Amino acid sequence: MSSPDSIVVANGLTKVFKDFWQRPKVTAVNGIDFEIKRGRIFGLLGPNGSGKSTTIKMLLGLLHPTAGELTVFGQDTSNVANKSRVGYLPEESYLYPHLSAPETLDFYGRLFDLDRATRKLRTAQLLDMVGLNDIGHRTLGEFSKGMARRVGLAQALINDPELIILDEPTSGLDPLGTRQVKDLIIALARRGKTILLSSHLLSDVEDVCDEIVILFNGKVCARGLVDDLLKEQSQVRFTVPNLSPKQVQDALARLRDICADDPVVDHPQRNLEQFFLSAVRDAQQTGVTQTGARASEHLADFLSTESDT
Amino acid sequence: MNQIIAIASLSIRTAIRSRILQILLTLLMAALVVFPRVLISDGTLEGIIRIMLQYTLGSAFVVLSIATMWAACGSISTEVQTRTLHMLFSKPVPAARVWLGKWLGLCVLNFFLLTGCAAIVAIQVQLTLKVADATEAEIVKREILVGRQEIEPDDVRFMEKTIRSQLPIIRKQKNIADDVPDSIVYRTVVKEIKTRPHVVPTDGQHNWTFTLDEPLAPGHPLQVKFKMASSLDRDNTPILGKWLVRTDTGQSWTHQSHERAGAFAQFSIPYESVTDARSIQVSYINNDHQHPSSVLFNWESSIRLYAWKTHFTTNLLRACTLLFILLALIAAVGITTGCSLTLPVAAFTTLFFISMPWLVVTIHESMSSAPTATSHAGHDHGPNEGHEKGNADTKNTVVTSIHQATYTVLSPVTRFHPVQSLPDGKEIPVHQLLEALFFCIGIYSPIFAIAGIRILNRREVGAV
Amino acid sequence: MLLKIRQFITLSSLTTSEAMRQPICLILAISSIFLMALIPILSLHQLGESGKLVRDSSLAIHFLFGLLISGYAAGMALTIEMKSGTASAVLSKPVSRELFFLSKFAGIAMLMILYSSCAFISELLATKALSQAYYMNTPIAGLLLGSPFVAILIAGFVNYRWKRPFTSQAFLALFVILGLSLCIALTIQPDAQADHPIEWRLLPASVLITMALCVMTGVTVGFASRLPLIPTQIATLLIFLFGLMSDYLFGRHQDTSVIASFFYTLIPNWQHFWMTDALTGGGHIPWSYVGTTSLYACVYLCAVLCLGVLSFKYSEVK
Repeated sequence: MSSPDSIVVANGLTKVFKDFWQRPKVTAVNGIDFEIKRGRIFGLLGPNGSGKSTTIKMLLGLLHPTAGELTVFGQDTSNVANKSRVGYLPEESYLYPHLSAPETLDFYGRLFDLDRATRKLRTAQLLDMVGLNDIGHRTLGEFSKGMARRVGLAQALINDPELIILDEPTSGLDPLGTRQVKDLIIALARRGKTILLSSHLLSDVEDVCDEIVILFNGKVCARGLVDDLLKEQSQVRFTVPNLSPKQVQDALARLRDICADDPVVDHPQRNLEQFFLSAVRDAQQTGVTQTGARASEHLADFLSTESDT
Repeated sequence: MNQIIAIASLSIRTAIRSRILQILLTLLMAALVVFPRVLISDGTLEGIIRIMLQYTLGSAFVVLSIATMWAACGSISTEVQTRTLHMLFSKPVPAARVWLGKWLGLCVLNFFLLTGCAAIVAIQVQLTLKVADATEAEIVKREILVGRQEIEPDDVRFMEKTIRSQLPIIRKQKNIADDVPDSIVYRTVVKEIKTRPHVVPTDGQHNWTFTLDEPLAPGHPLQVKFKMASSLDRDNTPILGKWLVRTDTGQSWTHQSHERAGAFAQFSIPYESVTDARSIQVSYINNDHQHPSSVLFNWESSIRLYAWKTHFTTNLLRACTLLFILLALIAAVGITTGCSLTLPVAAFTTLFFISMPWLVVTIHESMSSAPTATSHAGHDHGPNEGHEKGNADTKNTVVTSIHQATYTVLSPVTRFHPVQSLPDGKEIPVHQLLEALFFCIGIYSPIFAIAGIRILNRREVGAV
Repeated sequence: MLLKIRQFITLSSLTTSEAMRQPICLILAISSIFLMALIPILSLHQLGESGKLVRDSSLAIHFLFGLLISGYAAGMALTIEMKSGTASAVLSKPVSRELFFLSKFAGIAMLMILYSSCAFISELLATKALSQAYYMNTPIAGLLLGSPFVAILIAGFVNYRWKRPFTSQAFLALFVILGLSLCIALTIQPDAQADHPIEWRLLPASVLITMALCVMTGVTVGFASRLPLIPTQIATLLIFLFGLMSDYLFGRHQDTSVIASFFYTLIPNWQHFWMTDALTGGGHIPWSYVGTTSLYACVYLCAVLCLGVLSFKYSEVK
């Protein structure tokens, strides 16, 4: 199943949680297979308790598989050195409440053995990227959930990772932040990063992922490329500029000649996210002062392109 | 190394920014400044300084031990509960560095806190001396604010060696059965010897020989501390006597004594009278003809020599170093138990581990005071007792061996008493520091470190 | 009113079961019973003093371990709930803050009564096991020493078979097993060599200690309404230490100093609850004394709980 281009390979991956007497309590992951190719945005979907977080924790070596094979960069997940190529954003921001945002990033930078100058540069760029460069030296304990989430995202990128694991990256973020994170994910993928995105927010996954696996009760119930899976093969849609009622009637008449069923005509609708974002952008242009996080539109410069890695 | 320092500095930073350090500092200040003032001393400068040294450092050590234990137990277990350890383990940080980083952080904190404690103690002592009577202050400086080596008389010091070499003769003389172990015979003989005081009748004399391991420090007098009793009720009348000091280099010196019975007294031998001596004979001559009576000296503890070794500051620093080493061991035990248990349970387990050596020593001492040779010698054997006794002996041997092994392994931790040495003006020798370093940092801490790292490697951190 | 009583019972029993599920509470309880069982064995050769030693030591263990359990459980009951948000979830329902606070106290007090019952039975068995120097009532000593192990085995079985929480089951099993052991001890024929009845005069001493533990629980819950866990523990420890030395620190100056008199009244005096000396030489603690001390404990507890309620009423819940 694996190819040289595979970053993550799981074969028959199983995780059974046991009780004190070593009796099986819960089978969180039940013999799943998947493969994540380099440069892809891979979505891990499923309802609560389907085994998404357990799979991610096994990828990071925080849990040990009960059965099956799991490799990251061709190595076993217990390989510590391998983790220098991985960035991880957990489902909740498990950060040290007594540190400020720059101190947090500096601390994680030191764990990757980055030199002082690099840490300083990357900290500044990442804080700018996630919109926290004006936040000062407030400790994370005083941050809102969304702001802590942004710090969590920044720390996941401090080592310029090749594989980025994002567990519910948009949870706790406002719609603007959600859009920015989604844009960031797409931009990172364009730079050659491989991204594993776990979420139960389907719109997020739909917007950014190339490929998905849907888990249910610890098993894979669907997999494939997002476009292929979502394409409605039995129908065709034409999108044209606005037409007059007469032109619409003409077009319908012609279509009725081609197909037996009655064609449907309507105006395409923006979704609520698009409407919200345009409204906020209009408000921003009026020059109202903003007190929370406000991310810059560009990616941190140090995040390397594929050719650099 | 960068990772270890990062984790250590994170621990320190967290401690400083949380309220824990503020509370700890308040408690330390209470222990160092308030507590000794609440206690009642005997009113003398000596008593005040002794209390100051013993209770300040003693209570500070208790506060720091509890704080270290709690912080060490929580350093990993709290991170497991708050899941910040997930983040740490998702980075390329081996478990060993996490453990070492946490340990180093606690050690650095303890280092600064202990240094502060030592400084406060030293300042308090100096301030107290400044306002005290000059003569009293001089005595305190000579006897307490100093690091002196305590020298026992040779018969006490080499008692074990002497008795053990004479055991076959003693067995023969006392007709002791072969099945009575040497250890019991030895304990019986020691008990008998210790009950016999040295009796010096009027015009009589008793000699003690002291062997010096190292030459005396130039310029510092040698001190003799003694306690005697009288065969008569003297109603606080001093006993008159003469002390005669002779050295192996042919020097001699005398001192007229008129001290009360039942209390410790002392006198100084000028350095010039014992220069270059390696062996000193101290004799007491009972020449009290006004109130003729026998003078009694306890065999074991009635006389000691004190030789100057080091300054008080050095001794204080050594005491603090010993405390630091013990705290480092507590930190190691706490971090390891915290690797697998939640905070309060880990703290309880740590307390159990730390009290283990003292428990083993207590059991050992109570076993040492068990039945003696005489009770064994008089025992009457029944007809079927041979086989049962054989089984019992095997069991006893197994139990004794296990106990002996445990005692040998754990008892070294109980040998260090820095807080008790300071108020007595006893030197904490460098070899004791090295010994503490070897056992606590060189052996026990690495054992706990290996156990902790192994637990961390095997533990599924993500399961919490 | 009926609803409030039902809410109170629900909340306090939930607090008791939550506290019983804390592993440290079980460890402390089991350790104290085990230590009480060891005392007769360790005191076997204390000529003439063994009875007193066993009695005093077992009561001291009861007091000390009880304080540790009450300090931890009472601190946890409020602090952790306020921190984790479960307190705000409860208070968002039609439950008043006063009721919530008092039910927390009642829950921990119930735990202390349960623990004290176990400790009291152990004291009876320990004193029965070694009523004379050099004579050990082996069956009784065995019963006492074996009780914690049997309780653990039963809780293990219940956990394996019915998946009930191990710690609370072990706590309950300990109480039941100790009760059964006492019944067995009462039925064992007195030994001709050292006939010694069960020392029921330990009951008032144990009741006094239980009252002290309840007072301490009230103080700790009061502190926990405002302070985080560790400061609560330290404050409680200081109150305990000052209370132990109350006579020495404040009592001797109370006639000359208003401040000393104030603190002497303010800080609970634990010496009132520690009456083991009265048991020496076959003495008894009169029930009238227990009644007077109960009055003191009740008044003190009421005052502490009123302050606690006031403090909790205006504290911010996350």
